[in-house]
Amino acid sequence: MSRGWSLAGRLSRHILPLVALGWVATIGLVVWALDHEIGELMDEEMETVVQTTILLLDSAEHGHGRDPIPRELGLTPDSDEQVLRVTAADLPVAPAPWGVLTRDGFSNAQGWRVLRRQADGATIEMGHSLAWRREEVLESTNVLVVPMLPLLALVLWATRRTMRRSMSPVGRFASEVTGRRPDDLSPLETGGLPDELRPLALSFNDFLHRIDALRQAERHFVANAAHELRTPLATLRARLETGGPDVAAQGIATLEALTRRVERLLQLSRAEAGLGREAGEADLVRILRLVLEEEARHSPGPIRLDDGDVERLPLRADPDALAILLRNLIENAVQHGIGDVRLRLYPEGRLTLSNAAAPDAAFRMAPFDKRDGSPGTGLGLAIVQALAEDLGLTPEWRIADGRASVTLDFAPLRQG
Amino acid sequence: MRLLLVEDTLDLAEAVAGFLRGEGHAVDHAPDLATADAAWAVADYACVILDLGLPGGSGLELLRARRAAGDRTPVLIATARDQISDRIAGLDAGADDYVVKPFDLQELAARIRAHARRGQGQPANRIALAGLEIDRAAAKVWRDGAELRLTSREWSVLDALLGQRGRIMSRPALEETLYAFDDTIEGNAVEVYISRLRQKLGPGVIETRRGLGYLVP
Repeated sequence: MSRGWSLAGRLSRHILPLVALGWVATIGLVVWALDHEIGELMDEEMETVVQTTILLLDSAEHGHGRDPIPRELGLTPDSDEQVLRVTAADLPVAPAPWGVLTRDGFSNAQGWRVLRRQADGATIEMGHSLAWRREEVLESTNVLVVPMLPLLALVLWATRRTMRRSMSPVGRFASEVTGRRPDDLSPLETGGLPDELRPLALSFNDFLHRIDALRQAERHFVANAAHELRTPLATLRARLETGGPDVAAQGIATLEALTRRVERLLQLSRAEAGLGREAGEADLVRILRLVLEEEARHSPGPIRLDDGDVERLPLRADPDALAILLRNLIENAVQHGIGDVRLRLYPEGRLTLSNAAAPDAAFRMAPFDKRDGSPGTGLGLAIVQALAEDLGLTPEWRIADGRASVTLDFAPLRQG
Repeated sequence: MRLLLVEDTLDLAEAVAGFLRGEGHAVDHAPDLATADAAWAVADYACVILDLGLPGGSGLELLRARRAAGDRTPVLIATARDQISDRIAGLDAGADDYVVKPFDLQELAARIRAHARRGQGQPANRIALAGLEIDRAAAKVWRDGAELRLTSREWSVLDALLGQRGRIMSRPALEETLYAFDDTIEGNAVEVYISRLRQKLGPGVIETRRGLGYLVP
């Protein structure tokens, strides 16, 4: 089993080294700056000593003739830290840790930093041991860095703790989701969530809401389907149990009703499974005529078709989907209309179906939504809606002047 | 027994009501919620057979309303909803029993009789009375091991009196159990059935309290 990973762990692994590296880089920069500044400070000090020595030499010459040149100016000649050497042309050269220098200015030689200046009749050389200077820098650095190390540890600890605390809503959110019962579709509490997580929780709640709605719809559908199927069966069984002279005729009528219900449920199932999205080719005129031929046999009234002299209307559509859509529209008009049914096909691909309608007529689109006492299944227009949507059609439903009508524009589906 | 059948599918209601009438029950049929509510409010039913999906609302709403009003009439839900959650919801709403369509009419009738007996506080099926053995569940009567043939109406009168055993039932009360709203009540029908029952069952089973009614002691 592969091990998972955690956001807190990943953030720790990425952020903590970066924080530590940043601190180390900062300390390094500070140490470098300190080294530079201390170096400058010491160089200035050397310059000061040398200039002071030159002044002393000048005053000695003007005040007291050829007095001995001072060799010590508060500096120990044998010091391994600082050495001042003043050389006169007529005097022996005192030993120094560095060799003979040929030009004025600062130079590094044999582990010493030396400043050389020429004065009247004398050469002044001031040297600092580089080791001593480094030691001074190191001491200063220690004073700066040592207190910073626990501070760095504190920063790392605080960073890690802050990250963990910041990530705790994620953990709580995950626990709330995973700790739920499978049937618990109530929305998650989003009040204490950070802005980054709230959209996720809101989306999750939206998802739960949709699942709940689907579950309710499924329960509703199953209950209605059970009613539609079991009730005719119960009727049939009761008829057969009670017997009587008309039991056969009544039984057949009940079976026919049951067959229609089963057929409608299967059609709705196919429509909702995406039958209308299947690719295919279908001639609208031919299918319309075939469906009308079947429906006319069962229709108590006339069904009139004005085909607009259109002989063929090839469409990019599944022929079964088209036939089911048309059949349900026509049956709905025949069953719920109160007069003739008229269909008119226009050359550009529009089809209008209309029927005389009762004053309280209404289009009932939801599955199993039907008028009280209606002998229908309440599925016809739901099937039409599902198929039309998948075919990319937008039916225009209208009830006006005592007629109910629907117009379908098949033009976008035309081939060629 | 007088029964209320609440069922919106007319074919089914017709078949079930016909069967129950053949069993000697008086059956009122209500095809929607409003009719059922009105009938239930004015008549004293031995049992109500209630569908759930009805024009005007759910049968459960009606049941809850009646139970909330203190009505204890036995209710048998007869529905196409077969899921266990529906069954639980029905029983929680106050139903006494639940049958799923399609159902056996004999079984339905037996359940109705059982619930009606319980509603009368007499759950026992078999009764020994004045040398008779009576099985109320099977709607049969024996004397000395020989079954006595009773018509469905005669049985209904006897069953109604057995349901109120030890208490006087007036003639209108007996008529109430024998006739539905749409039935034509014949003026002396109760007396005729009582007379026939006495001939078949013998003396000491049904007593007359003049001016008050009849009782089974």
